[in-house]
Amino acid sequence: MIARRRLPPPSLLFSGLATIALLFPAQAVAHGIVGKADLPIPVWLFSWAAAIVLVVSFVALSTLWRNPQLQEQRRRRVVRIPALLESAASALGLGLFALVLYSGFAGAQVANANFSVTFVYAIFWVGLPVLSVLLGDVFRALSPWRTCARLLWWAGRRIAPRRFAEPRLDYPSWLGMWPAVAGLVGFAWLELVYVNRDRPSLLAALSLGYFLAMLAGMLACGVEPWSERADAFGVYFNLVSRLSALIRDEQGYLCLRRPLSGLPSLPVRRGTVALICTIIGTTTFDGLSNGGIWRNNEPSLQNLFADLGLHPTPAYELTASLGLVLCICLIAAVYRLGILGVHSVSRDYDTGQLTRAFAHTLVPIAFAYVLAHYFSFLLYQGQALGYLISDPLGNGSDLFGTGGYQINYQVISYAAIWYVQVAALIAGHVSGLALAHDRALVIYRDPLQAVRSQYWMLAVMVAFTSFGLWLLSGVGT
Amino acid sequence: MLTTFLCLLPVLVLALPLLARRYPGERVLVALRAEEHVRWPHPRTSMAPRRAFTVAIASGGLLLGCGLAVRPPPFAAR
Repeated sequence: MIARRRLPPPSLLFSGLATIALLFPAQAVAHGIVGKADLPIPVWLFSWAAAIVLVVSFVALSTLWRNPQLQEQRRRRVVRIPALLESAASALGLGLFALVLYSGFAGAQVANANFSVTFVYAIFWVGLPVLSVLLGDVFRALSPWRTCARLLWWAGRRIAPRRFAEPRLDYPSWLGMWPAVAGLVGFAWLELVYVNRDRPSLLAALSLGYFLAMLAGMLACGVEPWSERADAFGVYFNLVSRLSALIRDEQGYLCLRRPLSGLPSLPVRRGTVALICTIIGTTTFDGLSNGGIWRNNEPSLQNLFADLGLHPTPAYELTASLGLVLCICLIAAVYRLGILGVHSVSRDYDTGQLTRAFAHTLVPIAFAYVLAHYFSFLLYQGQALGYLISDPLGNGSDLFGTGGYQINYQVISYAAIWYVQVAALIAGHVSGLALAHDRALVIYRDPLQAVRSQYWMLAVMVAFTSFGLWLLSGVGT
Repeated sequence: MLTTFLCLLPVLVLALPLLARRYPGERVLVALRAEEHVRWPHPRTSMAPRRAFTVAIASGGLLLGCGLAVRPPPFAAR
C-alpha cells in the first residue's frame, strides 16, 4: 500500500517545495470565462513545480505501490436508493428539458436573459460532470431521452408484448462509440466555433433534434446499448462518473468503492480513445482560442480563407473548426507517442492493445482539464440561475421573488480559483499516473519493464500538465 | 516565446533520455521495490522456519521413542 511507508527525505523535500511553490500564487492568475486576462502567471515555474510533483509521485508509485489495487471494484452497499427518488430525478430531468425548450422558443432571444443558454452551457455541460464525479452517474436518472425511451418501451410491452419483446436492430458493433464522438465534437463546435451559439431558439431546436435522434436510436436498438455507445452526453457523464467513489449497483443500492476503481473496468470499444481525446482536445481548443498565440495568428489564416472567396463569418468558423480539429489531433498524437514509447519497452503487446489498455488513464486528465478551464465559469455563470429561475423567459416576470438577483463576482478570489485549477490539474495527472502504474503491474510480469513503461506515461502526464498550465496562463493575454 | 519554451522544457527534459532509450534511475527504483519485500517479510513466512526449528530438536522420551521405533511417530505427535 502506498501509505505504509514514509517517502524518503529528498522526495519529501522536493514534493513539499513543489507543492508550496504551486500553492503560493504570488503572481498567479485565475482562468475562467470571467476575468481571465487580469492576472499574469510565471507559468514556467508552475510547470516545473507540477513536473516535480509528478516525478515524485512516479517514484513513490514505483517503489511503494507493488500490487494492483484498482483493477477490481470492491463495492460496499450503503443504502437502497428509493424508487421514488429515481422517479423524481427522471421527472426533474424531463421538466428541465421542457423548460429549456419552452424558454428557448418562447423567451427573449437574449443570451443572458434566457434560461436555456445558461442551463445548457453552464449547468448541463460543466455542472453535470462535476456532479457526476461527486455523486456518480446521476445523468442516467436525469436523462430526458432515456426516461422517454424507457416509458415508450414500457408502454409498448404493455400494449404489444410480442412486438416490443426485443429491439428490432442490434446496435452495429462496427459503429462503436463513434456516434458519441460525433455528438461531442458537434456540441463543442457549437459552443466554441459557431457564431450564433448564444441564440436561445437555436439551442432549443438543436436540443429537440438531439432528443428525437436519441429517442429513435433507443427505440430501434434498445435503451442500454444506445445509451452506452451513441448518446454523447450519456457516455461522457458516465465516463467521468467512473472517477466517483459512489455507484448505483444493479439491484438499486448506493455503493461505495475506491475512487478511480471504476475506470479500469471501462469497456474500451471502437472510438473510446477518440472520445476521451475529443474531450481533452475541445477543452484545449477553448483555452488556446482565448490565448495570445491563437489571437495573433488566427486572422492571417482567416484572411487566407477570405481571399479564397469566403465571407468573414464562414472564414472565421472554418479557421476555428480547423483549430478545434488540430487540438483534438494534437492530444491524440501526444497519447500515441506515449504509447509508442511504452511499446518500445516490450514487444509482448502491440500498440493497439496498449492504446486500449491505458485509455482509461486519460479520463482523470479530461476531467481535470474541464474543471480547471470551466470552474470559474460554472461558479459565476451558475449564479445566473438565481434570477433565471424566477424569470426563465427573460420577460420581466418574478415567479419566486429572485428576479432581481445579480451575479456576485466577489464570491471567490482569483487566488482561490487558481488553487482549484492547479489542484485539479495536478490531482488529475497524478490519478492518471496511478491508474497507468496499476495497469502496468497487471500486464507486465517483469518489474523492470513495468517501471520502464511508466517512464513513458510519466512523460505523457508531464506533457499534458505543462500544456494545461501554459494554456491557462495564456488565456486572455 | 521564451515562456512557452520554459513551460514545455520539463517535457523535453523527460523525453530526451527516453528517446535515447535511457531510463535514469530505473535500477534504483526496481531495487527499492525489491528492498521493501526484504525489509517487511510477510508474517506467515516468518513463522514457518520457527516451527521447523522446534521440530528438528527432539529430546527426552520423544528422542527415545524416535530411536527405538521401527516407524517414527506421526509428524503431529512430535
